[in-house]
Amino acid sequence: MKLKTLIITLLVSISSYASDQLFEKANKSYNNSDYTSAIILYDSILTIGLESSELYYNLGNCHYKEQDWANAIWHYEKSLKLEKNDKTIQNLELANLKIIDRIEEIPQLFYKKWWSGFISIFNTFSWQLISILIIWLALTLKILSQFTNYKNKYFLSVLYSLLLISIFATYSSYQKNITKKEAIIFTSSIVVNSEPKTNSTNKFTLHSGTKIEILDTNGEWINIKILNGSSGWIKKSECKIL
Amino acid sequence: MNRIILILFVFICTHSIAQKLSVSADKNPAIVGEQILLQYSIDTQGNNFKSPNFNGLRVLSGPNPSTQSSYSYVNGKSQNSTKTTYSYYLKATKEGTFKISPATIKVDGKTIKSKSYQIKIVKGSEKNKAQQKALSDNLFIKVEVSKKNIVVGEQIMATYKLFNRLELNNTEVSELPDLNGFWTKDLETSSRFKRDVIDGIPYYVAIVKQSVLTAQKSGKLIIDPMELKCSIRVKNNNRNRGFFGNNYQIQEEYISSKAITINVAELPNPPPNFHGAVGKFTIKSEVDNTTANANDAITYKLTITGTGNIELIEPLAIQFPEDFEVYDPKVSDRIFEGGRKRSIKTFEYLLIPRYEGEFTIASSSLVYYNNKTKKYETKKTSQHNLTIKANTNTEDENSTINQQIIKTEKKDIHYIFTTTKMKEIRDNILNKNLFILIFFLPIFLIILLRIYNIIVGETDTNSSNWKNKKANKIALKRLKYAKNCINNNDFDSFFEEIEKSLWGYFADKFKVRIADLSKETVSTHFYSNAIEINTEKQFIALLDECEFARYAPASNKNAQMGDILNKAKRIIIEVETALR
Repeated sequence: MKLKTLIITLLVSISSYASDQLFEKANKSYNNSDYTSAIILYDSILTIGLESSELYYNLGNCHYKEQDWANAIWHYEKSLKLEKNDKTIQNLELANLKIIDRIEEIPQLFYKKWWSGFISIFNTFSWQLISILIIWLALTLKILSQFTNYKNKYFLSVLYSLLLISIFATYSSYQKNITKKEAIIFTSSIVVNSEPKTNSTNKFTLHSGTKIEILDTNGEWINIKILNGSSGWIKKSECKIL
Repeated sequence: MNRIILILFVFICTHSIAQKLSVSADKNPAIVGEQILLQYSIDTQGNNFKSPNFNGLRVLSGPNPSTQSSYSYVNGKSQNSTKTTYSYYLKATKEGTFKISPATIKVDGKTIKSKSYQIKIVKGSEKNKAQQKALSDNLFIKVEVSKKNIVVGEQIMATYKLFNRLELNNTEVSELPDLNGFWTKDLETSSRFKRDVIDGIPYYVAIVKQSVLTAQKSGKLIIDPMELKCSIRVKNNNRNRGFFGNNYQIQEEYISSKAITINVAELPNPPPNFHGAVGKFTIKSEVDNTTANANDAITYKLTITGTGNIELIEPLAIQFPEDFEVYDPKVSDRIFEGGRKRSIKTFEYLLIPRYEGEFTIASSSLVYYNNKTKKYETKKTSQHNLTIKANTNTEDENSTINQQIIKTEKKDIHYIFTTTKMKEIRDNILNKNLFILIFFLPIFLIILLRIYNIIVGETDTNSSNWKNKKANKIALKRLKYAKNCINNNDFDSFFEEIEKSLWGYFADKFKVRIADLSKETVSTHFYSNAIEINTEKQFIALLDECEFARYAPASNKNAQMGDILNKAKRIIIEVETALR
């Protein structure tokens, strides 16, 4: 009850200042090992409509300490979506060791690994900006060479190749971060069906905390794929989309 | 018809008789304790004989195969017969009916099965019983146990004694006790018989086996029976004694001890640092040097003395200083009677201090259960203070690396972030359509610019420039040797080279054979490729000039050479550009 009134009063004062205060307060609760109230305080920042990579990370830590692995993984993944951080990656690895499902990931080819490492240097927005910047720079140079005597062919060709790389990176980054929908399973144990029907063949069983990729939606059913490549249908309510 | 059937019948009969594995016993029914001879026989030679299952009967020996062959020659007919017999000596230990499952044998690739056989074992007659009784009175094993109610980890001594009043020829252990739940240590025994009188009857007593048993778990543990095979010399009662007056025969008897149950109680509330030591012990620790140099070895010796399951005591958890290199202890012990008498066990640790300073080896403790006082007792070692001096040996210092790798053993999540910068929750990307607009507008503009350029036709200058450059390159390549000659002041070969290069260039360019090279061919080829007449004239003039210069040397050779080289170059460039 006390916490509820606290949240309401906090919601009233929506400002970044308030959110900073909330964050600090939540950190204090975390230090006092009062993880439940820390979670409530952190969550209240989210309800205000603000987020940050660190906020999700801290929430993940709280859930980890509470041994709620699915929630911890969800928040770590969410944090990684906003910003890559070694601390988060390591914590996520630890949390992934705690869950039941151990899925052997299909190893990626080396150039795919390099490419995905390369595109994750910037987020999608940055890639978009970079592409736009380069194309406008190229245009300016072109116009410059048209009306003045300034000619620098080498620079222009370098610019064009950079442009090609950046536009591919933007596309991949967009595919990876925006088009690709991922989710974490929250139900303790679910059966994955072969069709979006309850009485269809059971393909395999998944447990809470497992990361899945959403391929398709059909009413309340979603077509999912796990890291080892197998796919099937589960109900939307069984998981929480990242 | 009848005759045919008869013949067939006879044939089948003989065939089946020849391939039958028959089974027989020398006595059936037999008396408990008697030896039974069981024989499997077949009228041919077989192989791969598989023993039957003697449900409950003991096999004394077997299968013992034997083959008999006979050859007879009667009235001009020869007959050859072979008989194979597999015999078993069996013994029944209890009465009842025993069914022996069929045995199999392979003959000519075929598997032949015997019939199953039933043996009835009956109780011996009165006389036989009396004989048995007489035997068990005169020959038996007895187990003596030092204690019957113990706790886990406590030790008892079990002694198997053989009592004998007969003429014993030979004894052999046929079944050793399993002793499940005990840690067993056999002691050395002498099998010599000693005379002992029990209830006024003298016996010859020998210790067959003596072991110290340490109970490993609680509950009722059974010291199961031990069985001995004894060969006794018995006087032969038969009248038809042997030819050599051998009136003794060897009789084999199996005797076994009785099972004994030992009650093993759980230890009462063991303290946390108790590791199973039961008995009475003292503990002592020693260090050979209390002051040492860094990197010099120190020996730490821990001695446990006492009675009990000392052999099972594991090395104690000793708190050595972190910076010491500790090697696994060398364990040595002198155990007497499996620890029932005062025994010694020592653990010798080799320590190598790596850094200077004052260190202490904390005292460690041994907790044991005293089975006499029925209490847990703790014995502590003394604490040792060590002074480690810096190593004066500089050479050594160089060889050892003084850096330490920080170990991170336990894995836990990282601490939370304490600062952050909040942003509004939204998809942090440009709208797809907006992006396409901003991105493709410049591309569109660039394309427009290009189209404009093509229409205006300003691109030509660019490409002609590039062509010139290429022509220049070709000319330079052709005239490379000539240029070398200028550098070397090789006046004579210069003109030759120029001529050679020009003709070579011409021949390569217009694909003219060397034999056809002449001034006429030059004009025809230049004309057909629409090369200016001026160029042709210059070409021919240059060739003439070279020829002339070779035989009439000019006064200023260097200037002339440079001039000619430039001319040749210009001509090649002109031809190259004209041909495009």
